[in-house]
Amino acid sequence: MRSPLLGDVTPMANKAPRLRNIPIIALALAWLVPGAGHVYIGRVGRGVIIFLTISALFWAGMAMGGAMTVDCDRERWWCVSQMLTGVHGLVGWQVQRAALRSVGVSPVTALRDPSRADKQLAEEGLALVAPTGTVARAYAGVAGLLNLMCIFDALVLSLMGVFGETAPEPMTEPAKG
Amino acid sequence: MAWRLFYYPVVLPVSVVLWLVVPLSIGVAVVYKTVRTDNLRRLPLQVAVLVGYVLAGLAVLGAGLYLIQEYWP
Repeated sequence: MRSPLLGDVTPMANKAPRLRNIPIIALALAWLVPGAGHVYIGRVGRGVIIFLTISALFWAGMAMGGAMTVDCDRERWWCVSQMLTGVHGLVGWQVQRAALRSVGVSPVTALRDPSRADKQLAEEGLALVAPTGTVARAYAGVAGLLNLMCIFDALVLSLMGVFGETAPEPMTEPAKG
Repeated sequence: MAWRLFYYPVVLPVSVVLWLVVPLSIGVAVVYKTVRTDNLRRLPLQVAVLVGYVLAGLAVLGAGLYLIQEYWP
């Protein structure tokens, strides 16, 4: 089946139209907006489900932990995994920066004198302590790790030239005799 | 300043924390099965089965660790 826009886009086909077969774009989109990589390679349904689920997990974490959930100064490994959610992680990071500025803590102070920054954050009710901190960072971090899996999936499918959903396995009748 | 969502942390009682593993497991199962499944129509059933496995596995692991902690000499 030929589409005027995309060329040969036979439903359930594995042949990728030229514009839908650039792995670096699939990689970048999959990182920037969770699920966008799958939409790019023609798997719209999967992309929407991935976007909704990863967004819900990340923002559930942010709702529980508040502005300090994404804390790149003190929780670096959590921060790395949270940044894998792309735009969500970047927004969370900016929320943290804005919160630090609002309580008068510069990024340099937060890095060099964390105890002073902690004190000021606690006074403002922004400090993230256990168990809320653990749960909030786990939610946002797991969202990022799940997106890493989706990034790899979109990248590999793009490298393989897969476009759209693959054909379902044919129903085979058991051999007689 | 008034309390704002996504800005101030919520206070989670310790008794609630354990239950928060359920939505996390559902999220993990949905994304994993969305990537892995051949047919999206089978997704709800596959997610339900995987969530069951995850929660059962965590329960067994928790029970095992509890027994070790209680009765290990």
